[in-house]
Amino acid sequence: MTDLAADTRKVQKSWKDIDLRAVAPFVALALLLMLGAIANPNFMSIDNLLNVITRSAFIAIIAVGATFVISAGGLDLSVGSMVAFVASLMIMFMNSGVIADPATMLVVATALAIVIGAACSVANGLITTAGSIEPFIATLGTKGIYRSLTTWLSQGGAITLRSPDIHSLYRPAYFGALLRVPVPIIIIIVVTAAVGAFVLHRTRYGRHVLAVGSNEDVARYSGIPVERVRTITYVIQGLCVAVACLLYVPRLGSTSAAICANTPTVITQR
Amino acid sequence: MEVEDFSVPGFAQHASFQLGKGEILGFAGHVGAGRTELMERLVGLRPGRGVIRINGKPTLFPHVDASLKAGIAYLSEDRKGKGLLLAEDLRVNLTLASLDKFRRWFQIDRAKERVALQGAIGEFDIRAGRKDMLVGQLSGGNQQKLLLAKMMMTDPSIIIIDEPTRGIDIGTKEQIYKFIAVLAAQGRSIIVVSSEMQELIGICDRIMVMRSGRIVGAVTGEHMNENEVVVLATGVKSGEAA
Repeated sequence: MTDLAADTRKVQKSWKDIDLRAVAPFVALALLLMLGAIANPNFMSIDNLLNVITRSAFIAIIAVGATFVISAGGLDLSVGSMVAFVASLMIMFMNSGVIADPATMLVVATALAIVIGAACSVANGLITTAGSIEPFIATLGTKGIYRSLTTWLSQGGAITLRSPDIHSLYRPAYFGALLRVPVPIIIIIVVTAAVGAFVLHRTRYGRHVLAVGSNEDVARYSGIPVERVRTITYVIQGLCVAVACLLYVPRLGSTSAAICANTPTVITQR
Repeated sequence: MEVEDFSVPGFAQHASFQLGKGEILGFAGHVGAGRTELMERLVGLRPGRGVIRINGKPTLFPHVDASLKAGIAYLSEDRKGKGLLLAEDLRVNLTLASLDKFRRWFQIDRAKERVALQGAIGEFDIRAGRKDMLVGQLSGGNQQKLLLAKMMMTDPSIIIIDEPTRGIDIGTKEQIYKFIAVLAAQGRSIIVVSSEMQELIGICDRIMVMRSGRIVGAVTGEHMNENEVVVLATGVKSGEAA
């Protein structure tokens, strides 16, 4: 009986086992590309496609972090505001001139951005797990907080990188290319492959994330520290936001409280 | 293992009992007598007070990870809701409580997982049409056997099984009783919580009876019959507290 059942299933596998929900985004992407090609024949040129991907790098990196948060059953609406906040602090630090050497300054500012991103996300994580407040409410709140802090820091205007030395040193992070592949695209591949795919599908922590998101009770009864796993997903999200910031800042060398207002909506709509 | 003066607010008060090596101890009582809640507190799933002594060392587990490390495994009565991930395959479920054993550097060793699954399927006679099928598609009996296999991956010395045969067919029930007997013969101590009186009388060495959150008595040997247990569980006669 079981053999027969297995055989019929094997036959069906070719067509009916295809998960439409998994394929749908790629179909939509193909349709969009076709639409673009019809609207303007230059759309499908290599240069233009590289440009589109480079500009999307920023969203893609944040989306990798969001994948962790959402897989563990959470939600982070504050990512867009976090970008504005981290970018503002980073540029203000580079403008402060506390370190004279531009290269050292850039390294310290990078580290600072990562620390701030992690700190913001630890706050998100602890409010939702230790504080047991719904992630939707909690991150909607922190979204407002990070956005307001940015408005206050920028006095309602823009914060612009003043030192031309740092800017010229930093430009390659967005505009540079390695073997003709723009740096942001390389960073997407590294972040998605190394962090996204490897951690989520190959490590013990990734298995824990999927278990917590699949059924929190089963996870707890299996000895998985549910709260800790959830908090760390927010930290991964924060680190991804920081990396995205590092790509955002050299592009314009400027930020304001209005940037990335729609980022969380773009990412969480599935 | 000795359990001393355990209380779970709202569910159980001042529960104390002892469990010998290789013993099968039954927990009888009506639904709502506080048996499940007491066991969940023992392994750290609920707040409450008390002391557990394992080989004389007093402890109280703050979470399941700690109780698993100490060699106590708890199989929930709610295998679909709290025991297994129904939307995952057999391999992921089997190793979920014991992933430390499948670590190679930073990775999970999938080949080792597959070997473990092959072993578990043989040892516990888990019948799955395909190894990559979802656990939700398995029959209740096979799910129960997989849950037992999953918790046995942690190599516990004390196994607490809550309603081991709820909603499974008669053939699988007999298999489960046999597994329990084998595990006890290996020197593991087993607690069986069940609402099926016959089941407890059939497989246990000793039965503790709970009523309204208290252990009201223990029956052993020739006193182990349905009548004694029912009398204690309903409170018609209050037996000597164990």
